Amino acid sequence: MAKRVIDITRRQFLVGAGGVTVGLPILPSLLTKTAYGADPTYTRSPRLYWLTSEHGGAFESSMFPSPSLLTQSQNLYSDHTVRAGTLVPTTAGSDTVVSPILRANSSVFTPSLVAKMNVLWGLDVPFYIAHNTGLHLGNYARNDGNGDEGKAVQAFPRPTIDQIMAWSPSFYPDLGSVRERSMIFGSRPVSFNYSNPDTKSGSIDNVRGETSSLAVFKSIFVPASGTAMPSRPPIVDHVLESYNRLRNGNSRLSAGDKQRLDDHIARIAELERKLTAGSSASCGNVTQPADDANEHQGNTPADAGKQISLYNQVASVAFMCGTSRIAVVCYPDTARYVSYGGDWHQEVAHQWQNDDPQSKLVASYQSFFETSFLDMAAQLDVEEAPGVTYLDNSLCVWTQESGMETHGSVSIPVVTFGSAAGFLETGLLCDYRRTGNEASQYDPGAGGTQVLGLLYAQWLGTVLQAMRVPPSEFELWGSKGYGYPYLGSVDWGPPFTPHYTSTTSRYFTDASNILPFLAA
Amino acid sequence: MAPNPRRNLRALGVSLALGVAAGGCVGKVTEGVGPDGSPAANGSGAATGSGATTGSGTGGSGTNGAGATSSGGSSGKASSSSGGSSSSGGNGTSGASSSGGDGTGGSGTTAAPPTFACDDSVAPPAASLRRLTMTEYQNSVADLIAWTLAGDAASIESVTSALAPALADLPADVRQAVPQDLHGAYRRMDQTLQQEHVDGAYELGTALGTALTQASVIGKVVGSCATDSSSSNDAACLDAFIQKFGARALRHPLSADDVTFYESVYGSSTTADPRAYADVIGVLLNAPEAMYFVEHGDKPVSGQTGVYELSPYELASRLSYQLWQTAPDDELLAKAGDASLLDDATYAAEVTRMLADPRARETLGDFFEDWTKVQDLPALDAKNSDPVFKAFAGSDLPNASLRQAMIDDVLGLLDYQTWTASSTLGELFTTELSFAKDDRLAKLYGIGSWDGKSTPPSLPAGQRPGLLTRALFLSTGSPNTRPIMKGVFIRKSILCDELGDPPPGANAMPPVLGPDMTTRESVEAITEMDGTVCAGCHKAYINPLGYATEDFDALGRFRSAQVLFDDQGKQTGTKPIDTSTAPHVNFDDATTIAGAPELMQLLNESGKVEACLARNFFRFTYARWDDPAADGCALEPVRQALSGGGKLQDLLSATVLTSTFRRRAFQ
Repeated sequence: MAKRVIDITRRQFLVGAGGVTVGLPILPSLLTKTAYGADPTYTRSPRLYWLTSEHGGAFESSMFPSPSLLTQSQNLYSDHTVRAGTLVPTTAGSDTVVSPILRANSSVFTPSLVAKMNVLWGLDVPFYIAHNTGLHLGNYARNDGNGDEGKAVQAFPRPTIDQIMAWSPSFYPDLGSVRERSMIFGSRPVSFNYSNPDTKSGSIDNVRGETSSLAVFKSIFVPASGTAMPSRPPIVDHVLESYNRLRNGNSRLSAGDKQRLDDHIARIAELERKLTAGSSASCGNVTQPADDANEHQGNTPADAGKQISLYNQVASVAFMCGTSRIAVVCYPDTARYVSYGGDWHQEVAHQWQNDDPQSKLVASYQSFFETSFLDMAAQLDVEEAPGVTYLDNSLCVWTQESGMETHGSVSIPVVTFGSAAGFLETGLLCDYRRTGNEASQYDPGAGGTQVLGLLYAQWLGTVLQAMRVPPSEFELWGSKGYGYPYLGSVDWGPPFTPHYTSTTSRYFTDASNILPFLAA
Repeated sequence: MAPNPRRNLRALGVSLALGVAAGGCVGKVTEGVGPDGSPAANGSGAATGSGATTGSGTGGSGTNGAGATSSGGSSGKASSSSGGSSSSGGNGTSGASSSGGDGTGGSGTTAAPPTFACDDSVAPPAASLRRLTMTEYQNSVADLIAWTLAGDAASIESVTSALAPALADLPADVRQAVPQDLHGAYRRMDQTLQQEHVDGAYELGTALGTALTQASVIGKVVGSCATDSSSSNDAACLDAFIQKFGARALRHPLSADDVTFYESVYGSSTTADPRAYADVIGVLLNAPEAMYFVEHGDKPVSGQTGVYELSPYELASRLSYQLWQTAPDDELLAKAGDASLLDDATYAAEVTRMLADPRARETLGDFFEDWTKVQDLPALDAKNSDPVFKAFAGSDLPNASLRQAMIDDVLGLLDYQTWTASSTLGELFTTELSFAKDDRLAKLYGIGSWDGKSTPPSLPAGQRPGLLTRALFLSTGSPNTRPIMKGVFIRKSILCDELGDPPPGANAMPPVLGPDMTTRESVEAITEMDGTVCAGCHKAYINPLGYATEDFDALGRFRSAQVLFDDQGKQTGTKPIDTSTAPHVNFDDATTIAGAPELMQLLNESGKVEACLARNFFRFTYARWDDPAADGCALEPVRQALSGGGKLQDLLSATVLTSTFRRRAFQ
């Protein structure tokens, strides 16, 4: 792969979410914000940014805004009314407060950003999935097999929705500028795809992330001056031919051999595409960041925030250069956000019911929201077109592994910024729970009653459609929505079966519908 | 300040961290699957609970498809295996119990087989094209450079330096998570193909081509024919280079078609063109024969349909990567070239020669590193500011290097016992030598440090025999030991027993613990209460293996009592340590032991460790999980070699001398 020349002649700055001016490679023309009175016109393709964090365990009263905001209602079914309301923040000192966790300095967490935010309450994965990294993006099979239900679902792996998008002709109708179909940051196994994503065949493997922000930057960066054409054509064609010779020759091969060769051939084809991609893209005077996320491994909130912020910078640059439109940041537990040095899993997450661990969970998530998730929204909230910012043209999502009960999957917290280029309404608290019906209620032992609502699979289907991927490209097994359609029946707590009834119930058959209140 | 009753609980590390710690202890019900693999609607499932050790449960079968089969409880309480949730499937029968246990059973807790049956008529599973690990690939490139430049140190250094950025961009091998070991097994099992593997090899190949065709070295690489003024010899020069360099890079002689292909890569240039030579080198480095173990097989194996003996060059490659993690050397290639490698005596002689090479020692070290999961040891100094940890550690507060010292101690023990002492497997459980080179670690052991050269010093007699009493296996990075984790490690990695799945919500509401409880007492309270789903697995099969080493604290120091602290690190009392337990090394053996020395003895005498080590080495060798039923011919010779006084070194030789190692299945 040819080394690229990096233009370091100019350096621009942007204010990050923490209120700290950071050196950021950014296009100078993007730094001005202009107010427009007219409704914006969305002409750009949407981008997806997804930030995942492990565990959960924060009481719903800390995670979600006050139910008093829920002024709208809709009878989704005769016995299930869903509600929504405009997010109205309060202030506390120098902070804007949407909830105890969704709280940040007002200089960054502005009313404008609150208006571009959504908080979704009442999205469930209706079986015991426990330790998992696959819930976030829809490969429910990636769980540790704790309990019969999680183990049963392990037999049904599927690509995650970021990879569905990455290889979708609807999401990427033109790959001419795309250097990386998706950027995966971090080492946790969150993103999955077929071993041969082109033909959608082979095993479902983890798409490994990169921990170095600089490494990803190099892969998505296109210098303003372009790259000089080599005097000889690239050898990638010959490499491809060497595999085709073996694959299509007469030598003895097993079926597995052939699959592996096909997988490799598809990867060479992707390499070949990337080598010529970028001719229609430009990063202008973007400069290479001087810092790398790998240099920020310390057990402090500052280091943790900086690590993610550097990922965010690279993702922002790619979105702005047009060299990628998908970024997933796979973050482990949030212990570093409160400098916790012990075993977070055992000593905090598993003790979520107790006061001290609960306070640590809430504090860590608040810091995570402010310094990492809001940071990305702020970085993108600069004008791309008249009246439209990059954030407006994006969908930024933060999801947690579990709901209020660590390793439980009732009311997975979902927080978003951006309208996905005008597809989604924003500024809402949406409550999909079937409140008032005892059959849907559950007492996890602390933090109050939880109530079942709609399927998380419906949220994943909504995201795909917001990214312009039609159901025909993602529905599988004759089922709607995304994720393996499974309903738990083991009597360990949440009343999944009484609420969801069966995998042929309305909740499952309606799972490709856009979630209530969200369609713009 | 009063002691915090939660303190001990929080530090215990109990419950589900490994995903295996708590017993599900019931038969299993899984949703049915339609004939096309689609999920069946609720009600079409089937369930089968099969008690792995003593109980069994059988469920009905759905009409719309076959339901998944699951294992049942060790004491046979297949309580859910009564037809699953099927409305259309038949009704199952409840599991039958042949022994009561604690009344709760275990879910799939399965004793590992002590021996393996080798049936030559059973073909092993068909193999898939195995990718070289990045370690193997990099070693191969390094050796290729050295061979190409004929040992010219300055040129090798120059070329290697030029490759540094490309080498850095190659993805690292990771301990691959597999369904049987979700927290990571062996780096060799890292067989996924990431885009970065292809991109990285392309970058490396291109960079190597450029580096080897610089004016300063191309004469050495290609020959003087590439630099002289004559063009009449250029075609022959190219042909000779492709045949010679290609054979080395691809580890077998090139066919005429191969040569023609690589000549086409060179192109139509009629003169010696360094850029064209660079292209040839780049393509060779990316060829399937360079990145994979391309094996077509040679002669069919009699009686095993679809199984073939490896060709001499294929065998040379497999042997070299197994023992050295790099490509074959001149001598091995020569034995492949004249096919003498297929002769048993010649092959055995080559194995002996290669085992004497230091690279074999490094390879086995890599295996030991993954087998013992040394990299799972957490940071030991992360809690140094915590008042309880400070009080607990006292003058032994860890520094940043203590963790690596503990890793080096264990790997040093394994290396010394294998290669210097030529020990038996049994001696791993009896040795009282210390390999702590670090003063802090040696102090924890109560002895002086080892200089790495002389005979290692002895540990206090009778206190800490064997591998599993070393600090690495005892330390937690917190003030408290983790008996459950210790037990799970021994049960799974040393004995290869399978543990049941933790039930949903196993610790949804942890019990309130008293402030004066030892770690063991706390673990007993949480996981061993009669009538709970946890007890069936924890009480007999998990916790006791950890209790036996409770006379070592969470820094690996010997102790006879546990010091108790409050939240501020103030000592609130001490309680005697109890290491007596019935570890059930063999499930049906309720022998009670006094502590670690007797546990080591039981492990040593169980016969299970040899079998388990054979299985683990199989995973390392073949880059896949073993199937004791189908892989018996590969496993049993290795187990036998380790039994009855066999040497640890025999792991390597016994493996490569099996017929399985020299064959490949294609069906």
